[in-house]
Amino acid sequence: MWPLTIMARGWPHALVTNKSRLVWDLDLHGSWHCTSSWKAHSGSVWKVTWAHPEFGQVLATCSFDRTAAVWEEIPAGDGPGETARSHWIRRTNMVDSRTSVTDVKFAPRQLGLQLATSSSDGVVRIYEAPDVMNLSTWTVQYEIQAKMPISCLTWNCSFSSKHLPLLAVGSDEVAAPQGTIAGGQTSNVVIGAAKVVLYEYSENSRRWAKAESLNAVTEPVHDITFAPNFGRSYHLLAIASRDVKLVILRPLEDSTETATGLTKFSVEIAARFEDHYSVVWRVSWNITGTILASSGDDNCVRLWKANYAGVWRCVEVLRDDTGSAHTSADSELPPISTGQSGGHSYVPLSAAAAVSGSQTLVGGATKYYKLGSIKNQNQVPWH
Amino acid sequence: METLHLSSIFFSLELIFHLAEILNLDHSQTSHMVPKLQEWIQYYFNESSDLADSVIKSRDDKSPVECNPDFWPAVTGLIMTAQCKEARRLLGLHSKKETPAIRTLRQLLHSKPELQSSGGASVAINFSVQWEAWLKEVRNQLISGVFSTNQHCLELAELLAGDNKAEKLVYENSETWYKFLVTYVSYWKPTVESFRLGEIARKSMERFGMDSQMKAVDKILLALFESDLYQVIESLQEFAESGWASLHMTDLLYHAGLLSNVVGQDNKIAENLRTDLIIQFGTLLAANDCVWRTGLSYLDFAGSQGVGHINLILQSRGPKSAKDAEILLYEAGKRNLVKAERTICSVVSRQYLMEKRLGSALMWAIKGENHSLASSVAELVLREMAVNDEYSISDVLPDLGTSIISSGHLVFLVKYNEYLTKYHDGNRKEAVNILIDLITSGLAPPYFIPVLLKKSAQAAKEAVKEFNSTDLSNILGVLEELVVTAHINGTKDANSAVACLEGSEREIREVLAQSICQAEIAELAKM
Repeated sequence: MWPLTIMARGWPHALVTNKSRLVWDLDLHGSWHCTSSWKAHSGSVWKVTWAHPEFGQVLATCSFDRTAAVWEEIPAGDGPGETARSHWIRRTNMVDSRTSVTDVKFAPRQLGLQLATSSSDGVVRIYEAPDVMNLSTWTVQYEIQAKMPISCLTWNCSFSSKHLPLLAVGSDEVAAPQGTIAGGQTSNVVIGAAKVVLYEYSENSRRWAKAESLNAVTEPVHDITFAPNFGRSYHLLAIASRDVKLVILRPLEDSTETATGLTKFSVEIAARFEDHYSVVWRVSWNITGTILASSGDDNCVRLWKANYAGVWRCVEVLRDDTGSAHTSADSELPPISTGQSGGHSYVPLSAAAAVSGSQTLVGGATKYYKLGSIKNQNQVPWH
Repeated sequence: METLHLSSIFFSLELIFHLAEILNLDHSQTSHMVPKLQEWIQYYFNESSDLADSVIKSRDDKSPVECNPDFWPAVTGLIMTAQCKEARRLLGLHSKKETPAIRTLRQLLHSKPELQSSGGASVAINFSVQWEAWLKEVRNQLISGVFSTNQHCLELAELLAGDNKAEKLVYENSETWYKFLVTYVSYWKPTVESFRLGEIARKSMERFGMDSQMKAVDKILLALFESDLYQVIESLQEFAESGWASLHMTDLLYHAGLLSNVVGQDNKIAENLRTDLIIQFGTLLAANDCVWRTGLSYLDFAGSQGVGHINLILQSRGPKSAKDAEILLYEAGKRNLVKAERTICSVVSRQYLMEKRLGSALMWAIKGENHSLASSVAELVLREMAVNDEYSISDVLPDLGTSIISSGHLVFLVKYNEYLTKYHDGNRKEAVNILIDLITSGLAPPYFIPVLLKKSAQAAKEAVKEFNSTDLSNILGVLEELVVTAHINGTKDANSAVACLEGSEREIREVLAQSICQAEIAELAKM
């Protein structure tokens, strides 16, 4: 299933299909226009991500062709009409990887202009652009050997200076069955290694080191994302694998005095949802980290929310009503959230702020309005 | 239709909040429910008064007022809602008011004891005694048959007596179960305590067959009568979807100290609940372009989580104009969110940079204390000035203040601008001094030196008096160095400083040479 990736950053949204990229803008009247479309890589593009607007209009992409690229928007100039296409130029190509680059993410703004890429051979590279005005120069600052193929990565975004920079990576490696056990009997039990590992940056040793591996997650992981954290003492990690998992990571009190200078965490599975009854491909948080969206092979996007007592439950299900072929959708939700499934965009609005003239799809506490179909997408099976 | 729908929701919410106030917030050991409930019903359902008014207005001399088909319904309605004075007055307009039936009824209405809403047990006891006495009087009159001449009076007297026969009358004249409830307690149980209301409410609802058709409002009112505050909050959340109602109800209960009762006596959970609802509602508002600032003011009450949300919201609202940005900065400044202010300024600066409005970009970069961005923009400005004589951002520069010290480019830019301004204003001497400083200090970026040289030549032509020969020699020296360096490096770089000088190099040399002569002559003459 192609990940039709939507990453939201303020107004423009980016969509990636196959080899090309589309950037869509939402204008003042609430309609979508494709402002740009170009062939970005020579292989399938896996992911796209926006940098913080403080660095300008900047995108990064990663691809099966073993490269990652950083793009910057050049304004269109005085084009005719409002929908003059803006121009995106490639600022740099990162060719260090020997295998397909599976994920690319910018670091939180507090860390400056940094980018992490993950490859299917298990290497995570952290690049930095020392001069934020010059996007052509990126150097590899750190390399992390994860010793397993990595499918996804996520930075922890915390406004608190008490939290050290934290990265989580997930692997979609299929666990091999165990061989014989004591007594000569073959075991049919599949035992896998932990598929989610956390790395933390230690100021003392000036390097990234493994802080924790989540032994509870042993099936292949397809997506992973930290919830934006501000004001919380713990971190919240969402994992898309065979089901949707929510993990709470609490930094333990005396941890910074350990020799390694790394934080120790207590790991708690806060929730686990099998509602998709199929593989979950993508998970994504809204901008405040209070609503999680997940999409799976059942053609549905589900939204999850916790109540005041910390109990998580599904608050909305978006079903693809066109009966089109499977898609695995990625959605990132800004304050006005956007989710995507099967080529349609949904925008949740409160009943009080209703937009008229649209179809209501699913009722409930928030209503979702079909904004329109996005045409011309090539949906090619992943496997 | 939308307005009608909204106003009916608003009406229901008012009804609910008022009842919550009566039953929970206004509550003390000494207060009595019935008078308050009567007031509640009278306030929201004053159809009877309106009806009575219209009956009175439509009076004319041709027919007696009681022939008006609304007359008796009005009287009944007034009595049911315990507006006995008005009922008595209306009855006084009856053409046969002197007949025993009507006169007695009016008398009974007049002597009906009224319970004050506060006053404690002694007042209640007093009232009970009076009430019993009055009831006895009503019943005696009923037995005596004085009302037999007038069916309406009979029914109303039965109502006053709390006779079960009147229950049907009340039922038929009540539009809703809670009107029924208020009438019931007024005449059957005038000293009822609040904790019995739940039971009575259920019975009233059953009477109206509401079990199967309960609407949201009914559910909430029932929960209030039963003191099931948790149910109230939960139902309010479903009823008024935006969460405003449940939030404010929770908040009121919190401040009244009643919220912890709702969540199992746990203060922490009560606080969590309130904070959670505030954040939900606040973020909902913050997502809307019209009311986002109201959302922020809600979030101010949500503690540290609220602050975090506000920070995030302010930094992720892409400002679409300088005015937008100013508003964001105001909100951030109000709450001392320095990082947010800086981010907003940097984002605006970047936007201006995209639009090639370098002056504004510079101003905002400095405002946001983003030194690297400011420096880069200053460099862009200088490069622009180097190729374009007319280019100027002098309208922006005077406001820069002390932060220019952070960047060499900025310092240079400001100084250069100072030179231009002074020269233009006629303050040649000072201007020239600045210019000499700029050239000889080594601060000037290489691409800018030709500009300075050209300006020097121009100044030398127009105001040679202000120069001394040493300075002019130094300037010539700079020119020489530039040319020599270029020759050594080869003229590969088409954009090099020397290339920019091309053509004017000879002219500048001539002017400088002449000026040096003139200056030396002048100096010799002084000696």
